[in-house]
Amino acid sequence: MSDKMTRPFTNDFNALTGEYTSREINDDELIQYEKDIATAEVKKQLEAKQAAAKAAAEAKLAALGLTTEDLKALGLN
Amino acid sequence: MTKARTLADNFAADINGITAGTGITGGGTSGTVTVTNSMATAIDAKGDLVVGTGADTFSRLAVASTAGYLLSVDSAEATGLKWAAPAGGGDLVKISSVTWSSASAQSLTSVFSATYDNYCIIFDNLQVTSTSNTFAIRLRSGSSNNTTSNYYSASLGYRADGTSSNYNQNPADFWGTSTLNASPHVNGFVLWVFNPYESVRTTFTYQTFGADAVSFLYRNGGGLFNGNTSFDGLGFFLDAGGSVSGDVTVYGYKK
Repeated sequence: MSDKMTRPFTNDFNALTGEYTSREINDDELIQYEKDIATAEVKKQLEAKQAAAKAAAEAKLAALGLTTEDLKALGLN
Repeated sequence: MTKARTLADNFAADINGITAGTGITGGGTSGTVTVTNSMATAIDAKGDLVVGTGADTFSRLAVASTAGYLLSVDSAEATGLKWAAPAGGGDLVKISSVTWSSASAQSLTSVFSATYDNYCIIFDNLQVTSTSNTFAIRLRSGSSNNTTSNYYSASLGYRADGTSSNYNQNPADFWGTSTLNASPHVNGFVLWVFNPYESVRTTFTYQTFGADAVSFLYRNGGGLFNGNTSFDGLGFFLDAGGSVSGDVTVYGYKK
C-alpha cells in the first residue's frame, strides 16, 4: 500500500450545496485506486501483446508476398 | 372692508365644493382644501405595485421578497397577480456547474434527483495528464462510488490517421469511455445519462474527440449498469492513474 504522504487527491462537487471540496483519498479509496491501476496495466499488457501478434502475423504475410487486403479478398479476414 | 369670498358664497359659475372621486380622498367647501391620491398612499415600500381588484377598486401588492421572481397571472389571487419563481428556460435545464481543479478523482454528488429522468453533462476544457489512460466513470450513491462488476460498455473510435479503434469492456467495475488528449491539448466530451435516479437499469452514451498513443481520436459509445439501483451522482478518474481537470456543466431534461 502507498505511503499516506503520497496519496492522490479526490475532489467532490455537491450540486445541492454548491460546495467543492478536496481531500486525500481514504483507505478504502486507496485500495480501489491501486486495484484500478493494476487492472489497467494488465489490460494494456494484453493489448500490447495482441498488437505485437498482429504485427508478427502481418510480417509473415509480407514475407509470403501477401497483405491483409489479399486475405480480405479471399474472405479470410 | 371687503369680505373674503369662500366657496360657500356660491356665486354663479363659482366652484362651491370639492368632492373626492374614485381613488381620491379629501375635499371640502371652504378654506384650504386637500385632496389625496389614495393610489399613491397605498404604496408603502420600494417595489410596491397598485393593482386593480375590480371595477374602480385597487389594492397594494408588495414586491416579492425573493430576487428573480416574476409577476404572474393567477385568478385565485385577489389582485389577479402574484410573484412567482420563473419557470426554467426551455426543456433543458441547467442544474449546476463546477470547475474541476486537477485531481486523481472527481465526483459529482446530488446531481441526479426525481425532478429529471435524463441528463446531459458537458465537459469543456477537459485536461488529463496521460493520453494513454481511459477516462472512466462510476455511478455514485451518497458519498460512495459503486464498484460492483455491473458496468457494460462499448464504443467505436476513428483516428485522424484513418485507422479504427473499437473498444468494449464487459463486465467491469466502471464504465470505460475514451483515452483523451493530454495537456497542452484540451478535450470536449459530452455525456448523456438515462434514468440514473430511478431504480431501473441506468444507461449512458457519449461522444468525444481526444487522442490515444497512435493519433487524434474521435469516439462515441455507451453502455449500461446491469442492476436496478438508484444513483444520485457520478465519479470520474483515469483508469491507470493521472489527474483530471476541466469545466463541467450538468443539465436535466424536463419530463
